[in-house]
Amino acid sequence: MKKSTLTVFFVLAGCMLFLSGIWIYFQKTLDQVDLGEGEGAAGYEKHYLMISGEENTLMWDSIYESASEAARDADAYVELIAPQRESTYTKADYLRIGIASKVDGIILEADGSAEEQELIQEAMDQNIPVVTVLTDDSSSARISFVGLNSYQLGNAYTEQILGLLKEHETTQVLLLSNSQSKTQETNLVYYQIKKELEEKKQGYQSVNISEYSIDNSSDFDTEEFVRDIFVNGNTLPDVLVCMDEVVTECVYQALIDYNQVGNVDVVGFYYSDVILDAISKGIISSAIALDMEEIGRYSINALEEYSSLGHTSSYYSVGQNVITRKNVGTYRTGANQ
Amino acid sequence: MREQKESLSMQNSIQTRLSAAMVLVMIFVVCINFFIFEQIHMGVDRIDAVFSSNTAINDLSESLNKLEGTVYEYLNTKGSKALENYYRYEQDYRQLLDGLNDRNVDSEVKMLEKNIRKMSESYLDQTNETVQAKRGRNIEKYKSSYEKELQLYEYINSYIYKLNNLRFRTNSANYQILLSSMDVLYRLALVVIFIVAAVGVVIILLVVRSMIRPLTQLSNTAHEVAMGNLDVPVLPVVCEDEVGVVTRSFNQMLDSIRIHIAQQRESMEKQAQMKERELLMETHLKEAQLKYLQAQINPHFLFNCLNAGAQLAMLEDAERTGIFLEKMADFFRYNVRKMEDDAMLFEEVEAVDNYIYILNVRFAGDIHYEKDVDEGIGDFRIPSMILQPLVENAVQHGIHDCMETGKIKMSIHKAGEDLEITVSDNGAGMTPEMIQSVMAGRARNNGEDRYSTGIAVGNVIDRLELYYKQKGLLIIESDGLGKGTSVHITLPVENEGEE
Repeated sequence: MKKSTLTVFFVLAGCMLFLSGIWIYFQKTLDQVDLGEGEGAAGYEKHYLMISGEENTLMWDSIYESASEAARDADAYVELIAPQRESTYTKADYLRIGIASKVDGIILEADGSAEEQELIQEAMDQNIPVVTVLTDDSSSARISFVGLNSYQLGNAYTEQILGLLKEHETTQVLLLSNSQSKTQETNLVYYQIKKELEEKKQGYQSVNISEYSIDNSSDFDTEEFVRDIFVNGNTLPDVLVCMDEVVTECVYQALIDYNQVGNVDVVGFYYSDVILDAISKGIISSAIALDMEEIGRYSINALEEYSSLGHTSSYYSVGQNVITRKNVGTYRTGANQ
Repeated sequence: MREQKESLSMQNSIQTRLSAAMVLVMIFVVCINFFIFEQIHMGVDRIDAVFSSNTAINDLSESLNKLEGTVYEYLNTKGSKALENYYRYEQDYRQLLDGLNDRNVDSEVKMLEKNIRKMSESYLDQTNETVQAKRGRNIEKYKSSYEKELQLYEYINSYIYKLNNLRFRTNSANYQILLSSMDVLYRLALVVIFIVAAVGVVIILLVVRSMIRPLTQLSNTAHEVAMGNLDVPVLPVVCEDEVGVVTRSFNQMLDSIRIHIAQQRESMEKQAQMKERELLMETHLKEAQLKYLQAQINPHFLFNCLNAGAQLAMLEDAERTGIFLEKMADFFRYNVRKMEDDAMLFEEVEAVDNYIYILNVRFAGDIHYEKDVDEGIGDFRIPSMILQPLVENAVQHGIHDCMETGKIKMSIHKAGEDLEITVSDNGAGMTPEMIQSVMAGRARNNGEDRYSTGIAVGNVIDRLELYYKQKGLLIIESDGLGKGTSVHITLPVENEGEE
């Protein structure tokens, strides 16, 4: 009797153990189910909106990351809106959405359009401070600009172009930007480059600078236009200066596809994995990069300062880097990280 | 006391135990099933919760559409019904908005909700402005306001769409997780149900076996007892149930049977012993008779011849020969007649006298025989043929080699309850070893002795024992070889004498 009681006891204990196992498994599974109710998510006091110029670029990712980090310390949440392929919304639309959503601050890559200026004004009217990054619109009501001013950027490009000028020949230089990053500031950069080149080039060198702004308002235009340049080989410039990450990548691919490596020197912008590869292979001579981490951090600093003091510095200068074949290794690890 | 016993038996009765086992197993099964159903219910609830968020978003979208529709209708017609509807839908929409998050949380979904809520608030302000402008007939204002409102409506719709998509995406993933976990649960539940069923069956089997085992033991034991084997172990009373009661009673019954049988056996053994003794006695008598079988034919013929001889002697006036033959005849007659029964003491003494007379004639009066018998004891009954063999022994083994000097003395006295008989001689004597051998019956007369009547001392001893159911009635004493022998017999005769 005792033995059988013991057996029954053990069997029951086994059943209980099995059932507890099932229960634990099931609870764990249910815990896996995230209803998106934000259970356990951190709450913040403020809500900033960051409207990026392009979708899913490494550059914007690092800006957003550093901004988020800085925002967390300031008890604020940063929402990133990137123009999406599937929606026809423009930056202006996102600005309107931000204003209607009554966010506590907007970080924006300005395009210098009148509509944008108006909307920035409207935002300011509703006590929503706007900070511009990368490209500025100094005539708007934005509280601050974080980036490199046109003078510094122009000088940086000029330095790279100077090294690529041909001896005793006219060098064709084409500045490529896309319409979204083409602003008054871009023009200033262009003029700065032109001015600097004229000043710094040797007497026996001549430079023919032209610029083109790619209308990338519809999809894939950047790539198509870049290919057009290469297809019409007659008009192929000697030096291509790309003022945008996507343009740089397109140019790199076109150089390879049309077998123009060595014929065209390229000065790129920013460093993605592709660009770093190109630099290390010598296909792209060099690239100008801003310190994106600083851009993110400073933009939040500007908003915070404004909300606490009512004013802030109207210009935050960030560091710039020139990436060449020599120092490409350090960026590669940085990019990988 | 009786009530207590009844309640005890109720408590331990097979019915109660069986019912308890069944009920426990049922409870066990129900609990397990309840547990499983509870898990399934939780899962289903969770699935419900997963998709309820999409439903809520759809409600919000519908409400927004209705609101926008009424605004348009009002602007279009300025109808009071449309205005009424507008206020109602606005109220509805506001209520739905209350369900949306308005905090800054690190969650894309929640932030979308917040944006929708805030935009909706802006939108509602705008619609109010539009409606007010329309009511105030401010055409320019309501038109521009309507445009702004429409734009907001579009933004909100796109955000709702985005939210719905996002929700649906996470919900689909959740649904997959839940679905797979439900599948696992279904399999586990099957396993659990089988295990539970097996455990239930095992428990019931164990309980039933524990109840039936004593019953089987009882039946086996009863069968063995029925087959006649009473030597079975006492059955243990495992439980105080009906079987326990029956087992206890069975044990008691078995005990009683055993005691009864033991008593019976004892009495039968006693009877058998008695019978055996009787048989032994008879055997000894038969043996004695057998010893005389040959002599029996001779005596009959002999004592007839002797009688004829005696008469012849009388006719021829040979008186001494006649007396001799007469004594011979008497002696043999006594032998033949008295072997079966006991005899009177005087008959025994007479037989001895006759024997001595015959021997004296034979040995020419050499035997010195002396007898000392108390007066008035001749009527005691003693086993027959006791004295003559002793005297014969004294003659044969005691004084046979010294007839001239040999003396035989027989004395019979009554000492209290007993009759003391002594037969002594002054002849060859015996060593203790010889005495022991005779007493143990080893030195039996082989019957071929020329002078013997054929009855050994051993036979006398045996018959005395059988007759009196007592040992040690005959004692042989001797001081050694050449120092004579005396045989003492003590016979308890009180009762016989009185009878």
